[in-house]
Amino acid sequence: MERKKAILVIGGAAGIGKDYVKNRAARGDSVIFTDLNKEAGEALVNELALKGKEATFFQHDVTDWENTKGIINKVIKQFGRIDTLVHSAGITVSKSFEELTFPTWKKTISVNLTGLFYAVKAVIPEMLHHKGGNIIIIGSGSAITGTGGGVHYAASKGGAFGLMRAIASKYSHLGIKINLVAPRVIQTEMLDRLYPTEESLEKLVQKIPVRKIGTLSDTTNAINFLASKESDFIQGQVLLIDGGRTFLS
Amino acid sequence: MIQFDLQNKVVFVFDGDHQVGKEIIRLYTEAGAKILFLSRTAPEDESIFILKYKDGSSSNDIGPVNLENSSFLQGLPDLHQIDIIINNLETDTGKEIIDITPEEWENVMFINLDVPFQLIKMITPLMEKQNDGVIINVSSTSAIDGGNGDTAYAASKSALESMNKALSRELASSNIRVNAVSVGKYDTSDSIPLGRKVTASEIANIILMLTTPMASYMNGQTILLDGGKTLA
Ligand SMILES: NC(=O)c1ccc[n+]([C@@H]2O[C@H](COP(=O)([O-])OP(=O)(O)OC[C@H]3O[C@@H](n4cnc5c(N)ncnc54)[C@H](O)[C@@H]3O)[C@@H](O)[C@H]2O)c1
Repeated sequence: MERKKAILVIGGAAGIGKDYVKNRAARGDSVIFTDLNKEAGEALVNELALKGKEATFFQHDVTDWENTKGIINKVIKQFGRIDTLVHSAGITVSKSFEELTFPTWKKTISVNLTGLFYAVKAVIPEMLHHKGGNIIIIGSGSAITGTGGGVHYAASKGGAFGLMRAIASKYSHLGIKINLVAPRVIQTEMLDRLYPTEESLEKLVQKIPVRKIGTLSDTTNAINFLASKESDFIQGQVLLIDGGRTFLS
Repeated sequence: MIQFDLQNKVVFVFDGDHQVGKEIIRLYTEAGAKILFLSRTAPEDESIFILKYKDGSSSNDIGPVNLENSSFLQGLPDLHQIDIIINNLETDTGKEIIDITPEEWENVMFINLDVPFQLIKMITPLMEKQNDGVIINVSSTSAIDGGNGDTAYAASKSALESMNKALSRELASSNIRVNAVSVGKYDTSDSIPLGRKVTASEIANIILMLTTPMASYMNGQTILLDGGKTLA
């Protein structure tokens, strides 16, 4: 029988990360997830337990290096290794450049970019040790368009592109697979915050070539594909999940 | 070569210490512009900048740069305008992710992103009042190909390029154009179709061109200056 895969999802208590956690737990992988939001993390563990599924949760602040390192060490002790890291933790605080303050800029960069750096820095030695590992970053199309949350959000998400490419340039030949899923307009709480009214949402739909908002299964399917062997020749790529929004409208 | 006349222009160059910065200052001085630039007095501390002012051959210190508030800009000698920003500020770690410490990462983010962000934020109200301005961010092809594998450097540059795009959208209505020039910093000569590395004056020339009316319709772009290597 094939060894159970150990999958670590960072930012797995809500939205895109949560949907992927549920999907993998349902298939019987060893799923470990972290999130700043303890309540939501524990609620998800309970929700899964009611269905007879299992997942392990750690509360985690991605902006804290010691915290990240400690959690990754614990996971490795408990599960032996990390086969796949999915990094979904992120924040968006929509601001125009004029309104934007330095603390908001800094906070967005530290959660969305420095947090990602810490996670990747912590898992790479372990993956190299096992001569393989798969990293999937949940980025954003905002990195490409510069829209969708402000200068700070675009910059924080843009940083993930270079980070991924530097990792790919250094470790591809050592078995590290790394790709980035760039969703736009996926129905989550994050989207609700950006488009709070029915009217604003309808206006948005009209701007999407396929005329619908993406669902969490759209992102989960993409993550599953990149996590699978079927995509093993795909490396260092950005996969837009956007209904054509970025390049066709 | 075409001579540009920038007699009444004020250019703010972030970083005048390194080779490219010096070449930029030389070129803009030649074109007649007045120049503000950042310099480091304490080489051991990358985060302390002093603002200098150069008009023709005379130059003087204005004082330390305060990133907390923009009052230092009020100390500029009879200047009520800044027409061009050239953000050429950068540092790197020269290391792969395993060896980059959180402090080294933080330093790269500070110099390559935080300082330019904060200074641009302080200066754009002036450009908005003028309803005119040009911003250039100097980036690197590391954003596209990962460069030499320095994760902090590559991440900071791709972040800068996305910031460049976002800024171009937000500032266009004030007639402020924002473009980036991406240089193949870590390419080796044998990997470059032109067979040699770029010179400081070739970088400065492109920047100068982008900041003149010759490039008045160019906005939100990242121009690759890599001898034909990347073709992205
Ligand atoms: N929903 C979209 O349309 C969309 C579009 C583009 C990009 N994204 C990106 O996808 C990712 C997931 O977004 P989502 O829509 O699922 O958002 P979400 O808000 O539903 O989930 C993000 C999770 O990250 C967690 N988090 C925030 N700060 C954290 C921290 N410091 N430490 C640990 N965890 C933290 C939150 O608690 C939350 O559970 C984000 O990185 C986001 O930028 C989403």
